[in-house]
Amino acid sequence: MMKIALIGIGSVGRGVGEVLKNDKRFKIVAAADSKSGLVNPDGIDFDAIMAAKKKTGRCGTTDWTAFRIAAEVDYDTLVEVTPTNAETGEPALSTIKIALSRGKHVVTSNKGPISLAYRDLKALAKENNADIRFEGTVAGAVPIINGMKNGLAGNPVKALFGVLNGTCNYILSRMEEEGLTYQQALAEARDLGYAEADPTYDVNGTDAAIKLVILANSVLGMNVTLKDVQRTGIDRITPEAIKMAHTTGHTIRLIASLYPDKRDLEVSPRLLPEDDPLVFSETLNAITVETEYAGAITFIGAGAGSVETASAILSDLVFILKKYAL
Amino acid sequence: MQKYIRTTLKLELQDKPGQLLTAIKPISESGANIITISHQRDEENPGSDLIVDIVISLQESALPKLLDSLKAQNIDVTRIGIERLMCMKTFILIGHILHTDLTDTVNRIDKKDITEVTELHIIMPKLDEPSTAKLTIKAVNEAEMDHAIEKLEKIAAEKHLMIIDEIGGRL
Repeated sequence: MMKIALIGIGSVGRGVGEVLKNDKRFKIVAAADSKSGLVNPDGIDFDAIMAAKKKTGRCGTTDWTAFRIAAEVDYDTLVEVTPTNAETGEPALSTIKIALSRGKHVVTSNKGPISLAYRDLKALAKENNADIRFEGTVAGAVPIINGMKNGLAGNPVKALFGVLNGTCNYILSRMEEEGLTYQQALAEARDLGYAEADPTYDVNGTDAAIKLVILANSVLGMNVTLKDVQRTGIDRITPEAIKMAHTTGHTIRLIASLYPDKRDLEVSPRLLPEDDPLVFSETLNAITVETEYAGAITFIGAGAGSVETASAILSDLVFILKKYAL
Repeated sequence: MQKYIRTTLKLELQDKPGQLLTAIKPISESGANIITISHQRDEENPGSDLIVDIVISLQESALPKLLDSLKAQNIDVTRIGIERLMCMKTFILIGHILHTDLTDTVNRIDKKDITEVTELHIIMPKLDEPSTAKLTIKAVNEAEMDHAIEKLEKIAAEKHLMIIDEIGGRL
């Protein structure tokens, strides 16, 4: 049985709790939110801490912080699912380093640490005979990292095109379907909870660019940062542009593209044929990988969501469970 | 780099069996790719000549030899139209397209018989609001198209226009 320390009980953390609570292979022995934490070597009653959090805004007591749990508790794997800080990766980056330094495995859906410090974290893990896995950082439930690393192993990648931001995809598909302006579609996305109060990182292409950096470094062996990604957002797109694209059977989507040989990384609105597999409505994510031998392969599915992202985390946990026979 | 051209041949064939095949054989041997063939029989004058339009794409240097071989088969070629600009790309531009000297934008891309802006469609929703344009560029080959795109990107940066282009190089 694997003992888990769960850091972060927001949307993804709740999903992880739901997915793991009836799975006898796993036991959550510690949990922390941004203000408090609790530890129980016999296993935490997840429903009880969610009830407590709802009532008091805290899951436990203030003496247990994420750092203290990472440093002191007896666990096998740290699951880090706090919100992304794209500039510094903190506090998640420090929490993850503490766990790896102790030889503990780490599974995370947090894009900050992986996009900023992939090489360092991988080296630290290796040094301490631990694993760090992060399937949930890119495209939510879609198994793109394992799909490319294992499923397409050995296959040279010529190019990669992705719809990696559900908010932008929702906005552009609503502009296309209903002829809405950008502002109208954004307001609708906010009402439905698809866009955050400050949607800047989504609509200016930064969120998609961070995911592209993670894929480039972790799957394609590149060494790039956010600065290497040329970014253009969707906020200037007019309804007329989408109508004009339609006259030649095209539409507009925010596409993250990567040509490994040319070291060419870009996130920008592009014209795509309306029947392209990367053209779909709603908040899904998809990635088309163009390979030497397999031709073009498209992965598609839920790009975000509580239980959906937890599915990616579960797959990483099962991998570690099997590899280390926990 | 070999220049490919698209051309339309209008052939006059005698209306008897085997004539079409006789005409197609030299075309096929020239390495040309036949894009479409259409023929119309003159119902009011049975027995008159058959007019066949064949659209082909081939290397420009192979065209004179092809015309010679057709002549050798006693096939009359009555018209040849040549489309030199084989490469085509469509772009959408957003910004103050008219107020940033549209003529200048087009002139800087146009290079007679090499790269040309062949279609331009502008929508201006309101005064002072950004307009949207669809621009089609044709070029003789990929390299010239790349030059034209570089120019377009430079112009767009100068004039604060946003360019949306097609995803290229897909399988």
